[in-house]
Parts: sequence; structure tokens; C-alpha cells
Amino acid sequence: MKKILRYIRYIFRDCYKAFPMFFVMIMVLYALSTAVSVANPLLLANILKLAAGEGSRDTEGLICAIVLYGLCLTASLVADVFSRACFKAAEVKGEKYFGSKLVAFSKRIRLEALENPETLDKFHRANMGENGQFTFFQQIVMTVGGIFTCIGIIAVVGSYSPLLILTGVSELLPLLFTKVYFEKRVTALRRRQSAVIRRCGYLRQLFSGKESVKEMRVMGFEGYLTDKWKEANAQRVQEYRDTNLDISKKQVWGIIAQNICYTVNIGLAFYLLAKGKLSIDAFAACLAAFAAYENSMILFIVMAFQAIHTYHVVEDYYDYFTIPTESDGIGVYQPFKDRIKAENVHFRYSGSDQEALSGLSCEIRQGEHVVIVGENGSGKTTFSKLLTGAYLPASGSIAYDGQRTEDLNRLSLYDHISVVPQDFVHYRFTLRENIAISDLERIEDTEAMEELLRRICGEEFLEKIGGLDTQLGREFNGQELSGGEWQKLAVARGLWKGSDIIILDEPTSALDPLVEYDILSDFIEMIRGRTSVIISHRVGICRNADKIIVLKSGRVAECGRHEELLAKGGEYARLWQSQAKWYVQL
Amino acid sequence: MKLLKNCLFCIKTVFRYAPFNALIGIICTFLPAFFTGCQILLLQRIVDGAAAYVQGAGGPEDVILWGILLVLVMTQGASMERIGLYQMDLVSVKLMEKMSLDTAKRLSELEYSSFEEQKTQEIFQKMSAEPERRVYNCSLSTMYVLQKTAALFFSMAVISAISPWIGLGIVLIGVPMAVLGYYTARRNAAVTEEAADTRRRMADIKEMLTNKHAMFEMKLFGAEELFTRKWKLYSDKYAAISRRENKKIMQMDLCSRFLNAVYVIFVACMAAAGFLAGSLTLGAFTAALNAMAGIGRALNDCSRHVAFLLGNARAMDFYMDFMKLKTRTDTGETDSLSYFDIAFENVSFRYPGTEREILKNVTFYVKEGERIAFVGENGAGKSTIIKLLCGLYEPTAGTVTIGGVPVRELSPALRTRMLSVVFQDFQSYQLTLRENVAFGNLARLSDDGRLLQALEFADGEGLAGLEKGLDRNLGKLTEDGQDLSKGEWQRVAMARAFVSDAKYVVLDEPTASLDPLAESHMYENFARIFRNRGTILISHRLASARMADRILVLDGGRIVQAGSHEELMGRQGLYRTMFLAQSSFYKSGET
Repeated sequence: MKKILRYIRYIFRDCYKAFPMFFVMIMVLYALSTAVSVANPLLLANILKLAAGEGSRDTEGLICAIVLYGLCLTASLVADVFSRACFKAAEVKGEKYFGSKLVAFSKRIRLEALENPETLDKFHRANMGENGQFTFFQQIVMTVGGIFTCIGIIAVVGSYSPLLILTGVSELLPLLFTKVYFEKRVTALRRRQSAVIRRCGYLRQLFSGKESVKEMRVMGFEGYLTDKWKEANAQRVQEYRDTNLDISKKQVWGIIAQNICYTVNIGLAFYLLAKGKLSIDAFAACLAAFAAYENSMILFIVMAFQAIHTYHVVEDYYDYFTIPTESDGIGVYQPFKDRIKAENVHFRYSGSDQEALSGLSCEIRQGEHVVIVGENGSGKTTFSKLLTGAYLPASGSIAYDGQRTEDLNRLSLYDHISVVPQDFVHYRFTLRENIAISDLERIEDTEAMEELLRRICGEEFLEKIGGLDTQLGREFNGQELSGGEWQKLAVARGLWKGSDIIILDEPTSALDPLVEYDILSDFIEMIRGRTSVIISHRVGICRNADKIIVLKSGRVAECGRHEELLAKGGEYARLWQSQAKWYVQL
Repeated sequence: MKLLKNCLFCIKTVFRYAPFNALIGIICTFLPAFFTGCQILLLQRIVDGAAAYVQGAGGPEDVILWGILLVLVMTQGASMERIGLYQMDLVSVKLMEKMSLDTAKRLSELEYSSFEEQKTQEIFQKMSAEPERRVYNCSLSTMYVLQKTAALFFSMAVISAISPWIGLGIVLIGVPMAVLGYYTARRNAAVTEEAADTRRRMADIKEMLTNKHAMFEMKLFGAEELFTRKWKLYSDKYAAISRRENKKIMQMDLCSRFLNAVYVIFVACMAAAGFLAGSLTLGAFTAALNAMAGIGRALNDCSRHVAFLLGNARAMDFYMDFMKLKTRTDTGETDSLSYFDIAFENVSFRYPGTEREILKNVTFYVKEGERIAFVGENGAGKSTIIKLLCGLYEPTAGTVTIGGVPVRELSPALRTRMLSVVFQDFQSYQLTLRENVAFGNLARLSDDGRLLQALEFADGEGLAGLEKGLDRNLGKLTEDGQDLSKGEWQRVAMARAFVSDAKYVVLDEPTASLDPLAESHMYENFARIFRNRGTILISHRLASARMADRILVLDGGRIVQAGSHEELMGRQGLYRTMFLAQSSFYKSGET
């Protein structure tokens, strides 16, 4: 509850910051339209009073009253137009503000926090919540407006007779109860069904994906999947039907109860009229008030429940800002002259119960070409991430000439490191941006970029794509590249940054042999003089390495040059033999 | 016009799947339309009766009678609407139940090429989510629009009875208001459309900020600024579009509200004049004043629902396009073959709607039990050959036959018995391990021994070693499910090939994400297990091609070389170049 209130406060604070002028205008307009809604029955009563006044009919007064009533209605209409316009304009500003806030924060997040799939999921939802923050604000404003209108109207009828207050309030109850009941059931159903709905959606989507359709048709399990899906769908429909049937029935009762209350109200008013406690004009005003009351009541209850639904978006959104941000060191990185030393490094991803690195120690000297090999899951990629300083060891240390990564100002270290990650990103930007993202200062250096692309991607690539400023990615009507081409771009991106250290994680996994050969030999040329770390499944490239680090279960199993390790006949020799035997002429 | 057709189609669809419920639903939604008008009449009677009673000119009976009627009308109206909604709920259930099955059926009847074409991809994306929901929404909107319109007209008639002037006023003002409402809705839709690209880009940037890989690169490359700049660029652009359009929309809105206000004052004046002149009773006067506020709301409601309807009807376009897609023609009748040789004869191929010839006059034969490997660079046409072999596409020229019968004339069941394929982009099914493996041969679904053996061949026996064994859930779909790594999924996909009894096993680049040891194992097992079976292998890694009886080298859509490894190594040519390049890493030549 405390959290909810705090987040509501945040929303109002942020909305005020995002659109102060509209914020004030919206508040004023809502106050105005609330006042108008309350005044409406009073003005109507006034007209009727003058109209019904026998004998001494005050024609002028009546016309005045009518004009006043008309003005009042007009005012409410105009207020409505303006508040809608304000909301519309504010919505755009809100989206920009909330988005920018998120973008600004995301940049400072600790990468490690994103490793936990559960958290990641949540952040994803927070980001994608279709401007729910603003919608929530709107719903809250409308709810509060509705509540005030209701209170105002009740006060008006109450001034005629306090008895009417009681019945007025009672009218609220059936609607509120059915709504709460409805919500509970539906939420329970949704929670219970979430698994089966997910399953339905998943199975269904298999039938429209080209990869899955290809497989199921060729292998002949289309029918099996259809049955599975029918099954899941039937279960989903059955539960949905059961609950909905029940809810619908109960809702009919709720509505009947609500109308009975309404009837009682009218009856009571009439009773008071008959008893002479209510004048005929007050009676008419009451009838009008009841109708207005019912409208605002329905509005505010519906809005309140919608707000409850939207709240989770708000919650996800503000929760996002509680993720730990990067705790940066203060030391300014001095380019290392001698060696990078990893000592007894332990590391575990959050959300995982296994250590990815358990006591890894090794050294990399300046200018060395190091290749890291090892089986899947031996910690190669994790180690490379720790080397960059973007991830910090849980215990142990990685130090550049004695400068430990956790003590360093990360940016100063990043300036000297470039990477080609295994899961490189397909930026759906222009080709130029795709390359230059690693060093934006040189984004206009067309000549150098074209030269680099020619070397990595081949002579025809640029021509085929249509120049550096071509948009990439099908999503934005740009050129779509093949997996191998994206990978080559990633390599070019990594090389574009003129760093002292470059880390390549499986840089050729999607390439065909000829290209792989070209790229790898070109590489060695291009990264001469820089310290390089290459992670690869292909042990073939180890022969030219200055040092091979063989990882096994998060530890260094062997370390040395190709000939040494081969002679040793250990883990490396085993890896080498298993692959080389296919290539060596028998 | 197209939108109208879509609405009609939705109503028709609803009636096809749930005629009874739809009928009751429509009646129950429609009848209350007349109740608003009745309420106006009854209110008039009540006030008149009450006035008479107060003046002692009549008893309370009238008021009580009309009062009860009013309450009945209101309760019945609301309850009826509720019952109507309930019926529509049932309609939606029936649609979920039946229509979704028909959609799935339709999907399975589509020509495979539909799935690969870029423009149809969008159709799938937009409509595959839940077409029945769209049909339901669209028909509901249509009903509401009709109901609101009817209610409006009936109220109008009632008011006209009280004072024809007031009724005439509604027409004069209602028509321009409706038109304005319609244009506002159109404008809104136009903004959505115009801004769609910008919005997608904004979403893309946000998406990247929750992608850990992108965040890693962004930090390391110091590219935060680019993201911020792009975000600002697109959000400003979006703001500019909406501001421009909002201005127009607001102007229209103001016009329409102004008309409304004019009308309100007009009615008030006319009613007052009538009342003062004595031609309207107090009741009629009250009813008129009460009604005009209501009519403003009704007009508003009406245009709002029209806007919804427009959106919903437009969304149906995708479904209509979907229904027009080509039906598959690859489900032949041939159920048995006398021999099983594969023959590609003078096959040329272009993907539908493209210019480039992927395959040019390719001819080759595979004898039963023969082991073939295709090698060649990316884009040489290797995967396309597999697609043609599986009958997924019709060749542009030439024939693809198994046992002398064109593959597309084989029955799907027979084709499955002929071929088992592990595709390059093999799928990871978020189902049980058992199902994932058995998809290679469903007849073995409950043959634990066979499934485990297949896993073992694929070096993945450890995957079934957990508590639930073969029945463990894979993937993140279920709570107890565990996702596998890329390499592990690859083993599962390979196990599918091992469990199959098909005449030919086709492997399209199956070892890309395996580590060297696993890869090496896989090849050995592969050679051993498929000793007597026909295999067709596609691989970048030429090493794996060595165990084939015959290697076919593809270059630019043609077969440029064919022969065993030794033969090809003995000749100058593409194969030799490629092999030497790759093996140069391993050969200890210089040392």
C-alpha cells in the first residue's frame, strides 16, 4: 500500500515535470467540470422552480435561468474538449519524458543485473508498457474527478433531505461489489490460465513461422502439434466459459440490485414530495441528480478498476529504477605495458546456482595473441566479459599492470578495449552507424570505413548494399543481411575502434570456410601490435597464437604454446586431435 | 467500402459459428436502444403526474404507475444489455473454440512459399495472434454503432413528438457532428499510420536497452550518446506529427462541440418558449431539458464507436488477405514407391517474385543408400536444393523425383518416410524432451529405449538424466521448464535424425554451435549409425564432407564438381582450394 501511494506520488511528480502547463490545465479543467456537473441539477431545479412558480411567473428570471443552464452545459462541453486536447498533447510529452528517463537510466545499469532472466523479463515489461504511466495518471485523475462529482451531487440531494444521502450511497454498493467480485474471479482465472494461454499462443505461433512450418511439414508432425494445440485450446476455452458464465450471471443480479436502489431513490423522493418535504422543483432536480450521479459513479468505478490494471505497468516501471547502477571506480586507466593478470577469479551469474568461473588464474602479456579454447560451458565467454571490466569478479581480481578492474573508472578502461561478442547485435540503423558505433568520433571518415569493409566483407559488399548510408534491417524497410554478413559487420565494428586490446568471441562461427580463412588470416595482419584475445571452437587457429589458454569448468586447465601443449598430451591435445584428424590427409 | 465489407464479413462469420447466440445477442443489444426514448416519455409523464398531484389535480396512482414503468424500463434495459453481452461472451467462446481451429487448418493448407515471402510475413504477424478476437471485436463494434444510431433516431422521434422544432434541430446538428466525428476518427487513424515507423523505431531502441548483449556493446563502445540522440530524434519526430494532427483534431472537436452547445441552447430556448406559451407541459419541458444533455452524450458515443469500428474493421484487412493466400498443392496421393533413387533433372529455380536464379540447370542422381555431401559458399544454393527435395517449392524448370515420382506428388506421409531433415535453422520446441526428439519419428513417441538411444548417438544422453527424464519440459514456457544452451538444442535436433527410420537423412549444417569434441563425436556417430542409410549432408566444414561417397560442389547455383574426396583433391578446383584453406590451420606442414 505504501509502495502504491509512493508510486502514485512519483507519477504525479513526473507528470508535472513532463508537462507542467498541461498538468495545471488538466487539474483546473477537471475541477471546473466537476463543479459544473454538481451545479447542473441545481440550475435545472432553479429553472423548474421559476417555471412551476404559479401565478407570478418571472419570465425574465426564467430566461436568465435557462441561459445560465445552457452556459453551464456549454462550459462542460468546452471543458471536455480542452481536457481531451490537453490529455492528447500531454500524452505525447509524457511518453517522451518517461521514455527519456528510462533511456537515461538504462545507460547506467549494471550489466550483471540483466543476466537474471526473471529480472530481465520484468525490465522488458517495464520498457514495453505502451505508455502505461501516462494512462495511469489519466485514469487516476478521472477517478478522482468522478469521486468528487459523486460527493458533490450527494451533497446537493442531501441538502434537500439527509435521507437521500443514505440511499445515494447505497446505490454505489451493488456496482462496487459486483465489480470487485468480477475482478477477483477474472484475475484468478487469468492467473490460473496464464500457463495454458501461453502454451496456446506458443503452439499457434508455430503454425505461422517459416522455420517451424518447414520442419513440421517435412518431418510430418504437423498433425501432432495441431492436436496438442486443440487440446490446450479446449482447456482454455472450457475454463474461460465456466468462469464467464458465472460472472455474467452474477453481473445481471448486480445490475438489478443497482436499479432497485435507483428505484428506491426515486420512490423516496416521491414520498418526500408527497409528504410536502420536497418541492416539485427539488423533486425534479433530484431526478436529474440521480441520473448524473449514476453516470459519474459508473465512470469512476470503471476508471478506478482500469487504474488497478494499469498499475502493474507503473510498478514495473518504477521498480526498474531500483536496479543497481554501475558502481564505478575512480582510478583512471593507464594503458598497460606489461601484463593483464587474473588471479583466482570467481564469478556467478545472478539467478544461476553454478559458478561460471571458479578460481581462474592466468596472465596475458602486452601484445600477445591469445586464443582461449574449451568445451561449451567452460567459461570462455564469461572470462572475456570480465576482462573488459564490464563484469566484475565476485572474488579474486583481474588487474592491468596492477590496476584492478573494480578500482578503475570503467569508461577510461573501455576506451582501450574493443570486442566482437558472440551474441553481437544487429543494429537496425544505417550501415555507417553499424560500423561507427564502436567509435562515433570517426563516423564521417568514409574512406577508412570503406577500406575496412572491403577487407572484411569483400569487394562487392558495399555495392550490393548500396552505400554506407543504407538502412539495414527488414523491419524498417532496409536491406536485410544474411547471418554471415551480420557477423562480418560485427567484426568490422570491433576493428573500427582503434583500441589496444581486442577481444573476439567466436568471430567466424557463421562464415563459410573460404571466407573464414581469409578473415582469420587478414585479422592477424590487422591486429598486429594490439593485444588480442580470440575465443574459438576451431582449434585450428591456435597454431599461430602466442599463448593458448585451455579452460575447463571455469578454471585454466592448460596454458602455453601450440607445440608445448600438443607435446604435453593433455586436454588441448585431445581437442586438437579430435578436430584435426578430419582435415589431415589420411 | 472495403471496411464495410469487412464488417459484413465479421457479422457473417459470427453467425456462421454461433447463429443462436449471435441472434439473441443482437436482439438484447438492440432492444435497449429504444429504451432511452421510452425513458424520456416516462419522465415527462412522471413529472406531469407529480405536478398534478401536488396541485391536487390527480392522485398519486399515475406517478406510481409511470414510476414503476420507468424503473422497469431501466432495469430491463440494463439487464437485457447485460444478457446480450453474456450471449456475445458465448459467441466469443465459440469463436475461440471453432474459428481458431479453422484458422489453424487454413494455415496448414497454405503453400509453403507463403511463409517465406516477405510481404506475407506481415500478414501472419498481424493476424496470427488472435484473428477470432478481431472478428469478435469488429462485429461487436458494428452492433454497437447500429445500436447507438438506432437509439439516437428513436430518441429523436420521441423528442420530435414533444416538439418538432427540437427534433429538426437534432438532424441539423447531428449530421455535421457525425461527419466531424468520422473525420476525427479518420485523422486519428492517419496519425497512427504516419507515425507507425517512428513508433517502431522508438520501440526498437527501448528494446535494445533491455537486451543484455546490446547493453554490453553499448557500454564498451561508449555508444550511449548515439542511443540518446536517436531516441530524441524519433520521439521529437513523433511529437511533431501528433502535435500537428492533434491541432486539427482539436479544431474539429471544438467545431462539433460548438454545434452541440448551440443545439443545447436552442432546445432550451424552444422548450422554454413552448412552456411559457403553454404548448408544453412541465413534464415535457423537464423531459426535453433532460434529453438534450443525453443526446449530446449519445452523439459523442456514436462517433466514438464509429472510431472503434474503423480501427477494428481496418485490422480485419489482414485476415482477408490471409484468406486469399495460395493453397498448397504438394499433397499428392502416391503412397508407395517401387524404388527410392533421388533424381534432380535440369532443375532451375527462382524464388517466387524474385529475379535471381538460385539454381541453374542442376542435374544429379542419388542412389538408394548413397552418401552425398554438398559443399559450396554461402548463397551457392545448397539449402535451396533441400527445400526442393522436400517438395516445399515447385522447381521453376526441370523435375525433382524420388523413385521416378515428382516429390510434390507423393503423399505427405510417404515423404516423411523418405526424408528426415535437420535444418540449419532447426527449431527448439518448448515442449517435453520426449516430444522434441520424437518429432523425428512420431511412431517412436513412447519408445523410451529408442529415444534415449537417439539422444546418446547425438551425445545428449545427459539431457535425459534429470529427475523427469524424457518427460522434462524444455524451454521457458512452463514454470518447471529449463532452457537449453544452443549446443544442447543442437544435440536434440540431431537426435531427431537418429530416431528417424527415413530412407534418407538430410543434415543441413548441423554442427555450427558445437565445440570441437562434440562435433567430432557427432561425425563419428553419424558415419557409424547411418552406414547403410542414404545421407545428404550440407556443411561448411569440409571435414564432414569427407565421409560422403560423393561430394557435389556448388558454385553460383551450378554443380561445378562431383566426386569422392580423394578424386576432388586430386584435381585443381574449388573443392581443393576450399579444403586446403580450411585444413591449413591444422596441417603441421611447416613444422
